Amino acid sequence: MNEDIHSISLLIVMVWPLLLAIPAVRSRLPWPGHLAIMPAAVRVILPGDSSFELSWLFFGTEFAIDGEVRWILAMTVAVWLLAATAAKSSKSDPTYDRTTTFFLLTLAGNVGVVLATDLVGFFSFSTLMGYSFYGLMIHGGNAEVQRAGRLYLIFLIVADLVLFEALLLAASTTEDLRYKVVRQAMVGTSSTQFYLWMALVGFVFKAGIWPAQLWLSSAFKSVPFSRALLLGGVPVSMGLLGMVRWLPFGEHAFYVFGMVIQMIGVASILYGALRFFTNATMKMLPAWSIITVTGFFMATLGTGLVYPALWSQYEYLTHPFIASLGIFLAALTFTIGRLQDTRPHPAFASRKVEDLSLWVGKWIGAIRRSSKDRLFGLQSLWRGSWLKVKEQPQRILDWGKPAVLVGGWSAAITMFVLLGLMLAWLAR
Amino acid sequence: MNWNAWIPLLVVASSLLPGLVIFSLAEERVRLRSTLNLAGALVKLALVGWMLWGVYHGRHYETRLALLPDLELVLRAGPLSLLFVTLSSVLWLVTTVYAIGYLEGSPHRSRFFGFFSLCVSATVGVALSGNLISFLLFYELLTLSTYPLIVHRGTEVARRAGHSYLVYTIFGGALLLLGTVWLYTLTGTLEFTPQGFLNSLGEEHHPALIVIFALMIAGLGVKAALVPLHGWLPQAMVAPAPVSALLHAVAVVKAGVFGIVRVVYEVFGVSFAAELGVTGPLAWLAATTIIYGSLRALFQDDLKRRLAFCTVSQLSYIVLGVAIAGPIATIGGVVHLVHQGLMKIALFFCAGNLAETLGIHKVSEMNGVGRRMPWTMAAFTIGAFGMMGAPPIAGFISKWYLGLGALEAGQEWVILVLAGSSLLNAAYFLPILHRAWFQEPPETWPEERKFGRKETAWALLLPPVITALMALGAGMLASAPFSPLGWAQLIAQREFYQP
Amino acid sequence: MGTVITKIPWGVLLILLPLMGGMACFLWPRIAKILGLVLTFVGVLSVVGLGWQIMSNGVYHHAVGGWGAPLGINLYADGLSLLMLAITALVGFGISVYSSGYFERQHSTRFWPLWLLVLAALNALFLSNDIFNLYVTLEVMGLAAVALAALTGSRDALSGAMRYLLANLLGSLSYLFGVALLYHGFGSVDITTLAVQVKGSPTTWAALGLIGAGLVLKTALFPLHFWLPPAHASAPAPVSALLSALVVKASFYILLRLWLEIFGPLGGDVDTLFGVLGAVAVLWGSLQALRQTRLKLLVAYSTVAQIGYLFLAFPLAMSAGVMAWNAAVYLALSHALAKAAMFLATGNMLRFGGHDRIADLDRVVQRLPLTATAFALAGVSIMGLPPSGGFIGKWLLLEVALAQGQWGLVVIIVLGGLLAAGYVFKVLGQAFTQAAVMHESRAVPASMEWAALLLAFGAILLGFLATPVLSLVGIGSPFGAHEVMP
Repeated sequence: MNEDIHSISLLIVMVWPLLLAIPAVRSRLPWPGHLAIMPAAVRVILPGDSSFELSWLFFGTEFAIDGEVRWILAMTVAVWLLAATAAKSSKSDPTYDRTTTFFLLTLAGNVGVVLATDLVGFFSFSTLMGYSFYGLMIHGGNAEVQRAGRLYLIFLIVADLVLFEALLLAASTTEDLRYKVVRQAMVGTSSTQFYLWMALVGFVFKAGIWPAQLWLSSAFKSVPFSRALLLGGVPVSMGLLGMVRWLPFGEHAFYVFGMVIQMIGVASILYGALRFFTNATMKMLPAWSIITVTGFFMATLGTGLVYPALWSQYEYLTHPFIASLGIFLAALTFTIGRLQDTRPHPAFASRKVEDLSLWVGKWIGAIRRSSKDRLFGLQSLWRGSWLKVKEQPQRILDWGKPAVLVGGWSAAITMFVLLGLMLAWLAR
Repeated sequence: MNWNAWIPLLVVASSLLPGLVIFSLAEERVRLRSTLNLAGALVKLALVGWMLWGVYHGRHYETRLALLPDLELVLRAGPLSLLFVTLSSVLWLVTTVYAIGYLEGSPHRSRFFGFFSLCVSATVGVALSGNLISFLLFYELLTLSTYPLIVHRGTEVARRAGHSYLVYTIFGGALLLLGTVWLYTLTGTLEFTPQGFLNSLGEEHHPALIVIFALMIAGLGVKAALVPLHGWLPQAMVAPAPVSALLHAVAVVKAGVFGIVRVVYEVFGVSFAAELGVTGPLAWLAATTIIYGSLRALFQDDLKRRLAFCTVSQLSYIVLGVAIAGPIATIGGVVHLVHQGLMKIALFFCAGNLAETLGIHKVSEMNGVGRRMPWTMAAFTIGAFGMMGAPPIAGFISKWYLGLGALEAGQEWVILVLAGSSLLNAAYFLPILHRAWFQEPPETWPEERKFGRKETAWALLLPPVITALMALGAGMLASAPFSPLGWAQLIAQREFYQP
Repeated sequence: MGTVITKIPWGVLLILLPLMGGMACFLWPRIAKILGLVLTFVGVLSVVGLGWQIMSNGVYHHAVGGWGAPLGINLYADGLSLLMLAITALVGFGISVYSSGYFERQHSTRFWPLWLLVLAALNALFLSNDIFNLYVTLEVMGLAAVALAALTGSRDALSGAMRYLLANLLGSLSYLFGVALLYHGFGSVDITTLAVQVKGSPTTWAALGLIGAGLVLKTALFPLHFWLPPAHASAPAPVSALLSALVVKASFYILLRLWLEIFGPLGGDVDTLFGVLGAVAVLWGSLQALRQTRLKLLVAYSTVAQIGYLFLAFPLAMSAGVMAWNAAVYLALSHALAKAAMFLATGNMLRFGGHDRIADLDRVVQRLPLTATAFALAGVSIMGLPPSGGFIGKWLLLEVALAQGQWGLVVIIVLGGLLAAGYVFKVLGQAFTQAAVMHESRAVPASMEWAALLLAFGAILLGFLATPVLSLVGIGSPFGAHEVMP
């Protein structure tokens, strides 16, 4: 009996936000965001592990809550409560009503990702979460937000594609796609390496870990704080969670793979720290800090992959770490946002974003120009392009001016970090 | 009296007879016409349901009528037939409701609904055909009864679209006829048999068989819109929206694809076809079509044309699934037959709603349309994500099995094709969704009709929502009994594992 | 009951009733319409009776006046004759119904006697079993047909009819010479007798040449089709239908009979020649039809093409006799129904709009739905799409051609179908669009629309009757008993 109640409560946790996402259902409810997260909050407080299986969903899938999951779910509840409060109280947001649908869909996706016990469930709900979050992020935003959203979307699509391939590889190896089974099955098969790299790339993209931090930083830069505070708890934390769940930790030593992850971690730390010191507007503070923190996390994961024995000693820390990361980020963003709201200051104005579309536009312009040059003869073309080539390093080093690459600072630091890594690799 | 022998015929007749009666009805007898249509659709659905139940319990339903001294018109309800029959009869019902709403007040409705019913009868006939000659018969009937629907509006553009449709399909039909007769002279039978009936032919006939295969695929490929035989499909979008929805997204094109499925599985037999070496080229053809269709869709501003090219691309998923020639890919291909139908019909209904309610025909006019018509665009969103293969919508299941099947058959390149196609799908669907939901709506719509507080008429709103929910359901409930996936597994099992 | 039916000499009735009826119509023009309708209906019943007789007693023999061959006149009917009679009766009835609404008073009085005369001649032709009788009936039929073609007396009609007359006379004369040669050589005109006696000799060859050329001219096989389009296009609609559907088939029937019984074994390469000419006819006729801007001419050229199909059976019959002939007969039957329907539908459109320019058909589909349907259904059969008689015929022909590896013919058959689709849809495509100029329209009686529609339905229905029809053809094994169906 008790078990049944527990199982049903899990179902409600997931279905309730989805139900509220339908505008007609929630039209009379005063606090839809808060109400939607309530079942989850109750379930976090209620003691006892439980699971329930839905044999008819997808290929048959199961959702469960246990000690580890409880940490993450708690974080989710906290972050979303904070976000709901921020959204409700944020007077500056004229699109509140319309964003609520996306808010609730993202929430539902997030809860599903947390509770899923197999790869298909995880993947499905993370898709729901990802695309709805795009809607949440850009709704009613200005051109800058739109551009950030577009970047996020591109990374998301590619990540989903790559993860889908990983999923297929896993599915063709083992029928049962629960985390525990996959973790054991994906060791030592012919497709192991493919699987590992696909999963890594997918989650690095999803979580905005260096070198895919681009979307994350531009999102922090442009999105209003009431939604930006979700960035840490939703895409980033879930990306990290995915990595923990999909990769075969503690089973086998993956030397090269682990090393690469370690290096990514180190690079992220360096990158985040350097950006923090060179470009510390208040608004970007959470961005750089999250990049640094995920760097730490990655370095740990890499170590765990290289030394499986070591992993078992601190494995229990991963979930609390992810949870605290999400909460910390949300709180930080929330605070800064509040500060900015109450005390607008010219110093907080963010810098212009040099984003991908501008970059593409520049290239198209360059191509067009060079084709025009062709009319004037080869010589001038040569001279022109030579001059351009000569200008590039100067521009990159001329930090303030627009450069061909993403942005003066980020490019410079990326190159710097890469150089450091290469030296480290060679000195090994 | 053995009723079981007549049920397949009744299934065909349940739309044919109302259709013939409707032709003779006066234009203004709306109620009688709608009643007849809906009654026919419901009767058909009930009969199909009865057959589903029966076949599940091991009964046989087969109608045989003499056609030629040694050849019979055979209508038989096997698992594969039922999959397609169920799809078409369910969607017929939905589309009828939609069409009644869509064509309200427009001229020549008796003619329209008459031919519409004929088309459905032909489609159901195609699905139930138990041998190639019956298939051919209904296949041509489908060509003929669709033509008046394409030229329905009677404009010069419509006439030209109809012309191009005929040029393609009649030519395809001739090739199919040639292949069929040739096959008959070699074997003396045309009966669809699981695992094919050509195994016993000697080595010396293999070159002829390869040519026959090519002829048949070319003939069927016209309707299945395989590149380079797809030219008619985007043009045919000039037809009214219900036609585009049911026929050009489901019935007509599916008849072609279904034919390919039949030919590969039940004429040649998939292992024999693989042995002949014809499945490889077919797979490449399908892959080319997938990518080509998506690329072309990227550059269309006309919404229906974009959807049409998307159809071109998605249809070949099915062909690809067949051509990979493995059990799991078969599941993916066959189940996509249903899934693509559900998703695409929802998309076309939505496009029709936009055109009918707001006068929007182009993607570039769709700014902010999600605020004006949220339910329609929600259905559209589900359809679009399904096409991209996002879980939990039906398209995900198809892609999943196709990908797994490709891995199982050792054809990893297929994965790349699928990934590329998904990427392109995202590239041409997401901008639409972005516009619809996140851009500011214009001051006025091109040609707005008001429906009180509702966003549009009920008859127009319900069909897309219902079909989108079905697409969602087919994905989420994939493991439930009687799901499309379950049937597809049954079919694959019969083709591959039974002796 | 059964015995009564089998005792009545249906064959004689089939000839005498229309003949007397024709005279009566001539004498009492007032009752012509009623009489014509009744008699053609009785004709249908008589064929049914004859069919009953044949099915229960086998092949029908009747010695007129009790005198048998070689002196007297023998009536003979096997499955093939029966089918031809049946199709004549059916199409004839359709034409009669149509004509009852079509003709004005002044033309009506001239039409009915001539039409009944043609009918009598046709029936007699299909029942004859000697080549001289065949000549007589052919001549009667031909002259009456010419008179019918000239019925309206317009300039076009007269010139067309004149050409038709000349072609007819030339053909008949040539045939008559052939008959004379055979009679001179073998002392008989009875087909059965001749079949036994004829041997390869210069006389036979000359006779073959003369008879063959005459009949080919009358059947309008390419390149001797020159007379057909103007004559068929300028005649009144029911007459065009009659000429295209039945009269042309009559001479083909004679050719077929003679070929099967007498000349077949002696033919040498003639059958190949027929095949080649047939193939060219299919292409040429279809291409010409595609080029036409006038509806009636288009339909007339389509007849030229369809006749080509019939001749494709000759080369194929060498090694697959029954199958090939079955195909030819099936094509002939379905063409008769379909082309009659098509001409009648064309007549409706012509009457309705006052012109037959294809480009200005002006939404015929809305305004004459039954006629448009009739045209479309007939078109389906002409194109050879399923389900229709034309499809069955084409299927059989293709099957034989493929089995023998005659790739040239296979291509022709398929191509002919495609071209046919081209010209049929050239018409139908215009039927949905609005013409640039509006025209005055004239009402079309329901009987005319239904006559066309029912004949077209017949052509479609024939697609489902292959088994009974083919077993009927087999009665008396006109195509030789030694070959069995594969």
